[in-house]
Amino acid sequence: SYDGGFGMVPGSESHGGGTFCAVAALYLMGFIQVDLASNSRESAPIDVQLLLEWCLQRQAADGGFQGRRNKPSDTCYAFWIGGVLKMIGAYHLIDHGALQEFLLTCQTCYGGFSKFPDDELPDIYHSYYGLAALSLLGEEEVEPLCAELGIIAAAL
Amino acid sequence: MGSSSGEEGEEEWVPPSRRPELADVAPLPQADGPCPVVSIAYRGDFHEVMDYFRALYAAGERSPRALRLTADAIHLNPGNYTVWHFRRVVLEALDADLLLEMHFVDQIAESNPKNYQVWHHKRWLAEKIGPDAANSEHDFTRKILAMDAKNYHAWSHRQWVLQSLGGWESELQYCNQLLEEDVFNNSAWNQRYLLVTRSPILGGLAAMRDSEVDYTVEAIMVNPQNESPWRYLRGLYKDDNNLLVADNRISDACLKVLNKDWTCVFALSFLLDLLRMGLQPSDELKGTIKAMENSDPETGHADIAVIVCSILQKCDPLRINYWSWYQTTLSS
Repeated sequence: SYDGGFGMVPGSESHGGGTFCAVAALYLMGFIQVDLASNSRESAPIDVQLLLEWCLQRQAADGGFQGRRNKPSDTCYAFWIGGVLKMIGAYHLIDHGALQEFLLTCQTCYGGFSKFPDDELPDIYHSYYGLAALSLLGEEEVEPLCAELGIIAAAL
Repeated sequence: MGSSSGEEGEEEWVPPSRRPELADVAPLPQADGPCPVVSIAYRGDFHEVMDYFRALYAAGERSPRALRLTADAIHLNPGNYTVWHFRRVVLEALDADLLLEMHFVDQIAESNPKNYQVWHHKRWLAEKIGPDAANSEHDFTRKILAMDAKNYHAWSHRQWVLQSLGGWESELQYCNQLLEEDVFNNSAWNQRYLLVTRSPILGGLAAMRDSEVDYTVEAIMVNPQNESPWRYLRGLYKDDNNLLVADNRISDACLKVLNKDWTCVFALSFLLDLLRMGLQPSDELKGTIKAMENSDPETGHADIAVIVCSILQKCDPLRINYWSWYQTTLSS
C-alpha cells in the first residue's frame, strides 16, 4: 500500500495479517535479505524503510499493536507485526516493556488470552498468538519461535 | 425452537423428517468413524438438517427441495462452505433467479457481516449478474459500513465491485462523507487513495494531486494528531520525493503545526523525511527547530535533521529505540 504495509489484495488497506503473510512469503522465498540491526539492506523488492515505519507506528500508546491505523490494539497483532519486525531484523526497535505489559492485561482469569484488555472471555486464537508474541519478546519459559513458519525454532 | 428457513418468522419451523417433500429421503448420518473422541453434542434440529443435507448432497440432487434445505443448513451454520458450494451448484442447475438469491444472501450477511462464505457468495452472484448489480452492491456495502465503517470484507467487496462492475461516480463524495463523520477512519483514507489513483473518471494521481494536497492539509490542521492524513499526504507523492520536497504547502503545513504544538510527532517525522530528501530548511523553519532545541540544551548540533531526531526521542518515547537508531544513520 502507499503507506508501506500490505493489504489482502491490491488496493486494500494495509493490515497486520496481510503484511505478515506477504513478508513471510517473500522471506521464505528468499526475496528479503535485510537485517536492519546490522544496517544491511542488500536486497528487497519492497520498500523496507516504509514497511518498518508502518510496523513501528502500529504500536499504540497502550503498548499493544493495532492491526490497522487508528484501530484499537489487539493481542494477536503483537505476533503478526512483531513477526514482521523479527524477519527484517528490527524487533529490537519496539518498546518491549510496554508490549509485555499490554499482553499481560489481555490474559483473562481463566488463563487464556482475549482480543482486548480487560475482556472476560478468552479464545484459543488470541491465546495462541498472545503466547507467540511473548515468545518473540523472549519471555522466560516460552520456546523461541521461527516466526516465518509459525513453528518453534527447535522444530526446524 | 429452531431458526427460520427464510420465512418471516411467522410460521412454525418444520423439521425435515416431518416434511412431506422429503419423505422419500433417507437421512445420512455424519461419518465420525468407529471410536469418535470429543464428539460434538449437536442440537437436535441441527443434527437432523445436516443428516438430510448429507443425503441430498451424496445423491447429487439438483432440485428446488435441495435448494430449500441448504437455506436451513445455512441458517444453522453460515460458515459451512460445503453447503454454500452445493447451493451454488443447485442454483446453476436450476437456472435460479439470481436477484432473489442476492436478497437471500444479503439477509444472512447483515447478521453475519464478517463471514467469509457470505461475501464470497455475493461476489459469485454479482459477477454473474454483471454491471446491473453495481448499484445494489454499493448500496449494500454502504449499509454494512454504516454499522461498521471499517469492515474489511465490506471494503474489499466494494473495491472489487468498483473495479469489475463500475459505479465510481459517487465514490469520492462517499469518502468525503465518511471522513466528515470520522476523519480518523483510515479505511476511508485508503479508499480515497484508490479513487485518486484508479478511478477512470478522476483523471489519475497527477491530475488530482493538487486538490488532494489541499484537502489533506486541511484535515491535518483540524486534527494534527491523526496519522491518516499525514500518511496519505506522503502517498500522494509516492515515488516522487523531489516533487514532495518542492511543494511548499507541505513544509509550511509541518511548520504551522509545530508552531502550535512543537511536540507533534507526525509533523516532526514528516519534517525529518523532507530533510532527508533534500529539503533546504527556511530560516523560519530553522528558527522554530532551534527554539524547540532550546527547551532541551543537550542537543547542540548544527544539523537540523539530527536535532529533529533527538526531539523525536523525547516526544515519541514509545519509539525511542527507532529514533536513536535513525539518528545513527544520519551521520552516514
